[in-house]
Amino acid sequence: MTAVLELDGTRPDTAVADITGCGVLSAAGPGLAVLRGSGWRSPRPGAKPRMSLAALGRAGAPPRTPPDDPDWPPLALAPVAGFDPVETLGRRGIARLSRSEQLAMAACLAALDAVGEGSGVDRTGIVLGTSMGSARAVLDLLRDTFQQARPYLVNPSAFPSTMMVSAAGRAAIRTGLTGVNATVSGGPVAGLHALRYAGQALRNGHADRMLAGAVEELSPEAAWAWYHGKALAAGTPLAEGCAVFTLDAPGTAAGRPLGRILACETAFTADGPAAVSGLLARTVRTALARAGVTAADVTTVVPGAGGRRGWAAVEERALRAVFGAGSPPRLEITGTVGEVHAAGAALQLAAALADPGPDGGLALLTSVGTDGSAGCLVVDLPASLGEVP
Amino acid sequence: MSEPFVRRVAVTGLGAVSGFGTGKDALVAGIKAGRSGIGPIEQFDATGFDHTLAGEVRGFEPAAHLRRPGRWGRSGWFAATAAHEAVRDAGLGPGSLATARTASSFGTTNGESQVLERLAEQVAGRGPAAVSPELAGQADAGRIAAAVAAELGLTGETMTFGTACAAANYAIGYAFDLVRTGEADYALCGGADASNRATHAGFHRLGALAQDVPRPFDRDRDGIVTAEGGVALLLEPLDDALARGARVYAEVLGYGMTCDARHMTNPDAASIAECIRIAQRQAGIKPEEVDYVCAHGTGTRANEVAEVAAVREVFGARVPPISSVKSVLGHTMGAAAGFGALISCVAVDEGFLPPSATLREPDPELGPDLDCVPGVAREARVRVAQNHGFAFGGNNAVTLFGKVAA
Amino acid sequence: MSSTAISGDLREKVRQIVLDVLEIDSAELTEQSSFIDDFGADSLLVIEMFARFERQLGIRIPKDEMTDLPDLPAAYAIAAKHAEPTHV
Repeated sequence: MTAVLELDGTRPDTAVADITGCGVLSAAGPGLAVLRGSGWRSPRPGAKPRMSLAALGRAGAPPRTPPDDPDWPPLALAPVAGFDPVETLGRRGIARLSRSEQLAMAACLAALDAVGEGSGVDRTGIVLGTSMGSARAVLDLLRDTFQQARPYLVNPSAFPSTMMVSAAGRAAIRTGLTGVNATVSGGPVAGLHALRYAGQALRNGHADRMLAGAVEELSPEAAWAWYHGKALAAGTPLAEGCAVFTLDAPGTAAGRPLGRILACETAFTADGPAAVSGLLARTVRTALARAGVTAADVTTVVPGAGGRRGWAAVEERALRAVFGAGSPPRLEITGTVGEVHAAGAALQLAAALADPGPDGGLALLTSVGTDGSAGCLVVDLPASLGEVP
Repeated sequence: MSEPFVRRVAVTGLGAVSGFGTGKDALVAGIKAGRSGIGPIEQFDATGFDHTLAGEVRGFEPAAHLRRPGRWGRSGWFAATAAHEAVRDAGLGPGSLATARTASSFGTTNGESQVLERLAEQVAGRGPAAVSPELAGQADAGRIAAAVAAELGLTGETMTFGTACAAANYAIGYAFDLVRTGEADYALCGGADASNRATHAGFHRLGALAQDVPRPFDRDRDGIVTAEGGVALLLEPLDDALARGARVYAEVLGYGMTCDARHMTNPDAASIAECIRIAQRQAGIKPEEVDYVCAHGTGTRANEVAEVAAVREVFGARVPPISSVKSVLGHTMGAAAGFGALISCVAVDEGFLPPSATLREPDPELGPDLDCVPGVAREARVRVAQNHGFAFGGNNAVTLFGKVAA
Repeated sequence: MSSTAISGDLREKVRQIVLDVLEIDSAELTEQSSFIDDFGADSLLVIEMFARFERQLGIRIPKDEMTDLPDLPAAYAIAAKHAEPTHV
């Protein structure tokens, strides 16, 4: 039985949230449409997509070749494309905003713009996932503490941006949303933490609507860390990005949802990659059960670890354990959006929404972190009506 | 449709690492006596700063408390050490939570700030290529909740909140929701932050640092003292706690959150008042039932003006005693609301009001009839304690704890 | 408060800092302009001005005077007051 999104207002008790809008910024460009048809689907489960740097170029996307700038390592980079911060956010104060703040503010504005009138501003909240906020902002401030004549001669206007809270805080100021405002952290799984937090906030009455997503920025220091650690999978560019989703309680949205999140689960183990595989398999089974579906109902798997050398196999082991031989096709996003670390799960969800297939379907997103975290999300996708907004 | 499953949530274990040392007993004794946990900065080179005091954890030996300290940064050490103590304090054996569905939910302002400081030192003068990948791998703030989970062998939901100086209240509130609705059977929750150069420099530049000690509510208050620490509360279903004969410090009654959405650093009294109202409504508590407010009380002029205005708006003529433990601890950032929660739970359990230890003369501008509990703790029945946390980004969160009838 | 004369050089530097912080063009800023009313400045931007006086001009404003800064004349006055004699 394939679960197909019912639009008759039935509200499954267990469903997490309806996705009614989104704001997406990635190397593929702004919005969902640019992600459509982009992920490489493997008909053979576990087969690694063949990618070359040349093949990664897409119309409208900037070149992915390694930069000449000696500040950066000889890595392919995939910055966000088609985003002009001044145009979107105005010139005033833009220099004081970190890249993470800019991306988050723009994505939140777009996610809110995409939906009609909903809950009041005091019942609409924001939750964003991050790794450590803006590495650039923190390192710049610290550099000043070392190099200025006195260590406190830092820029006071830059201080708020050094804290993880700043992206969600700025987004609230820009959107006027006075409801719940939260920031969560956790590497690649951060986006799932944010989505789960949002679902819990809706369920427990803290908000009637939540903007939930995750953001990641590029910095030379982070890029060098990836480079020295040889941590990127072959052919994967290091990237930045942000995706924010407008979530309403299931069945309450006025318009047609982009998707219905049926389950979102996270877990942890400190016992190493092999244990992470087992943990992810258990987490997926739990999520499928909570979603009221079976492995056979899943039509697409969107894995998250493809960009991290050695970790795709960890994920694949789990997926094989769950799906056995009859594994659904994979939607690999790293070829399109690159390795976006903390924004990974959020962009995985965006890719799934962008590509529901003609008959809709059920997508399973998975994510694992090198610290031992694991998570997954089950989303019901409506049949495609044509152009995705 | 069936009624949603909910159950009452108890606090059965407490743990802390603070300027009073490792352990909640030293912390509680210090707070009650109004002793200062503030001293000279040792965690970073304070040369060149005008203000050189902080509430630091002295002589902390991670190997004495943790199985694999090398994997985590200082903030993770504090969270995990406090969590170990909370589990012991709850009368549960080590590893007893590993088989249950146990969540780890911790808040922080600066994440692994000392890791970031070392990374900045690496690149200073040598450029970004000098960064160490191993060190960079420890920079993710999510590793704080992960340190707790790893040390205790937990496999459940492991979440770090980055909501700045209110983060511990977000973490406690979320953990409360998980246990309340059956998403988790236990939760370790709280907050942690490490003393670090960037935070000290930032507040220094804002003019927000006190000349010597923080004096919340005082007429001459002049700012905060940066501080560090880790705090953990163990939450479990109240019925389970009573059935196994556990000591219940308090019940988590509920919590509320708002966002000012106006300014990144200046607090907003109206938004704070609304946050208090939401928290009380969620908890099913009327203002007159609150016997004590554990204030955010940082010691800046702006904070107490906004906080007291908000409190007066909600409580009207009858403002309960309100004090700030930042008076002795300093501002422990992401752990602050956790320390407030810890002392609120002990206050409810033992029946006393924590003091604003450094208060000499209450600020007349805060209005009349304000009992800020100056000096040392005072015996009093505390049936409901309200714990405040307000942060940059306008992030506000208030938690409420109540006495469980014997 | 004594009226401390401000040198033309220091005056120009203070003015430039104000322009940079407020992100406005020189033509927009007059001695009658109100930082708050005309340019939406808030307390954080005012602190940034004081911070730049210290960092770029070596002029340290005491903490208890780092409160309001309503307009250019006030900026000139406080800078002149605390500038080292060689600066003025």
